[in-house]
Amino acid sequence: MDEAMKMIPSCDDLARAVSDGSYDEGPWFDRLRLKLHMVSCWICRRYTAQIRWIDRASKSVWGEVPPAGADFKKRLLGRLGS
Amino acid sequence: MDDALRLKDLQARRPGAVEALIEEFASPLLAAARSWGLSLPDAEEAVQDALVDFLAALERFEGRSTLKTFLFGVLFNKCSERRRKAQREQATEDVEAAFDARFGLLGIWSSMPRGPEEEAVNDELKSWLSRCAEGLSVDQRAAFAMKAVEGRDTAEVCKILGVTSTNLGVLLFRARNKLRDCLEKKWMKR
Repeated sequence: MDEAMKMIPSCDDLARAVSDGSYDEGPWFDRLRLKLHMVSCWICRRYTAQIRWIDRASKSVWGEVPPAGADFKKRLLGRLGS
Repeated sequence: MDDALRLKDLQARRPGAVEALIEEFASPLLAAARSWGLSLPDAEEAVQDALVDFLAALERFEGRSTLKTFLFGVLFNKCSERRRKAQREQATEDVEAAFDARFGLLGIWSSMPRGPEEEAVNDELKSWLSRCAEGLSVDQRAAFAMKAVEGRDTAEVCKILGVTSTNLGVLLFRARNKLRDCLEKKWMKR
């Protein structure tokens, strides 16, 4: 997060932190200030809900990939010279 | 399996060592390459190339990360090479400018963020997401896939991508906002 972040972060600060992950993993005091802003700002709550939705939707689209087939493993073994 | 033991077995090419490596990692490597934006044939090629390079590099392995992290790092480099050949990415400045334009004085929203919020993920939205993800660079997509989809630890993702945690934040910021902006446009046209 920007070191110049004010005591009460702006919407810009909060939206950045939500999308770069520092809202969830940053220093606790920064997270506390961001959460205080979130409580009072419905537009930021909406933006955050959208980012969370994108994460969840992406999990359902890309989260389950079928395992590698026996044929592919056989080709790998052939290539790796075992 | 213990890393030191596996390393010894692979370096000595003990019988069964490569088979065990393939059995354990073929599926997760293939899944990673697919989630980083490669087609199935390209992903299979990238996994093969990565394993060849990984085995060749084991003599020089210094143990600064786990073998698994090192292996995924090699795969990331292979995927980057392949994706660069067929790049259709949006310019990075676009997403920064679009983000900044959403805020007015004092960093307050000047335009409402529209788009899906709580909607069930149906086939239409899945195809939107897949098409929107084509606009991400391979490092943005890999960062997003490993953090948001797979939930990997930040330090591990940084090692695989070869970036600092600050750079990882920038990649995630750009990936999520490119996806959000693209979905918003599709949503508004609905």
